[in-house]
Amino acid sequence: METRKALPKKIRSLIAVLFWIAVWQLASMAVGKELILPGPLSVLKSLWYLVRQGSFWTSILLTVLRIMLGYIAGVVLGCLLAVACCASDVLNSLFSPIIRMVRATPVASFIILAMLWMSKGGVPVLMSALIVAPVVWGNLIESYASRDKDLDEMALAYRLGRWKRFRHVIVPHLMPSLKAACLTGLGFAWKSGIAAEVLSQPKQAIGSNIYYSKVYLETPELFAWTASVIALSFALEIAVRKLIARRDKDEN
Amino acid sequence: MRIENLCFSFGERQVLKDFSAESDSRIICVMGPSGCGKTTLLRILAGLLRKDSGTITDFPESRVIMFQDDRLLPHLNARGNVELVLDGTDEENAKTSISILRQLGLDPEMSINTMSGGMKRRVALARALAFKADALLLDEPFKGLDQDLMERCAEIIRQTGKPAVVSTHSEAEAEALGADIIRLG
Repeated sequence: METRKALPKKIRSLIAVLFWIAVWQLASMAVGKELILPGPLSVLKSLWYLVRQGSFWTSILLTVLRIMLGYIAGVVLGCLLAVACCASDVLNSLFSPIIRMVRATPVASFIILAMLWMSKGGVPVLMSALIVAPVVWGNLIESYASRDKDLDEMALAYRLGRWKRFRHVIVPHLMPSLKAACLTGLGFAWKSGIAAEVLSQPKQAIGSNIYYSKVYLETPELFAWTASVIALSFALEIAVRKLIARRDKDEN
Repeated sequence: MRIENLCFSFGERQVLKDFSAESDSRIICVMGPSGCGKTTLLRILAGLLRKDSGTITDFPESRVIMFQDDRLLPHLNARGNVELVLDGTDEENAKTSISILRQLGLDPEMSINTMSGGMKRRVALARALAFKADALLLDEPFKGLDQDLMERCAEIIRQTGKPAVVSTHSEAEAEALGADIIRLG
């Protein structure tokens, strides 16, 4: 019997990307206005123009720094809050409502408030942290609640100290949730950080350039900046995944 | 060991009702049909459950329990699981854990994830034997072990010289341990 051989995954992905670029080109041709929907070629031209400017790379670097600073602060804060809430019912009662409130508040409201409170450059940092911390906290709290109670009893029966119990019974159980939260949070940090830059317009920032492209009706440039954000987001996600994988390998 | 009028209930369900037993033997096997309260008795002796009433005397206060399920930490190897419950220096702990695991026929460096059920059972037994306690409470310690391994483990338990209460379904296991039998249910 003749069997059809499936195409390699990379080829299939490339075909899918080419398909959507073709759809984009056709849609752009159908609209017929660069201002409304520029085609892939003109976006590529804008991107080529941008990458040859020094300010493009400065904006990329500063945006990455701001968002990653906020992201790391958010992960650390989320972990600390989760530890506090798991360790003490009083702290849990104290922090839970405020964290849930932060999680439910629209990012735009926080951005506007933060613009009143701090420098323009600090707003994306704070926003990324505020978005990431509740994600990490929520994942860790849920994971802690679903831990194996039999292992808790084992720790009690063998009189394990608090540190041993935390390090060997609780942390290994929480790690998969923390990793998932770190990856999910990275996407959120990017979206909220860029949104904060668009609204607060700090000097040398991707978000500010997106805003200026909109103001000056430079739609191909707006698309080019957006493409840069997507590429950076993918690159950072890959970097974080590799970091996590390397840590797992070292542990095993 | 002397148990007098021991009572314990899970809510409405009375598991132990005025249970009394007495034995001068160092090792005692608790036998009885499934659900008769063997594990409950061991958990009461371990201090993990609070009895409703009754007294337990002539049995050391410092006790360690080997649970019916292994309760091992999968991210640690055999040695790590044993050393986790020890309080000595790293060197002392390593010496103790390696020695007990080898006596039980195990590779101390073997990962828990690659072990058979019987191997895990022996790691759990090694952990209980290595722990500093004056008495052992072993809940079906030979589950999943063949006759030879069971006899080898029973011999090692006997050699510790510690008083032990062992839950089992098997007369052969009680015999291998040289234990008195208490029947429940």
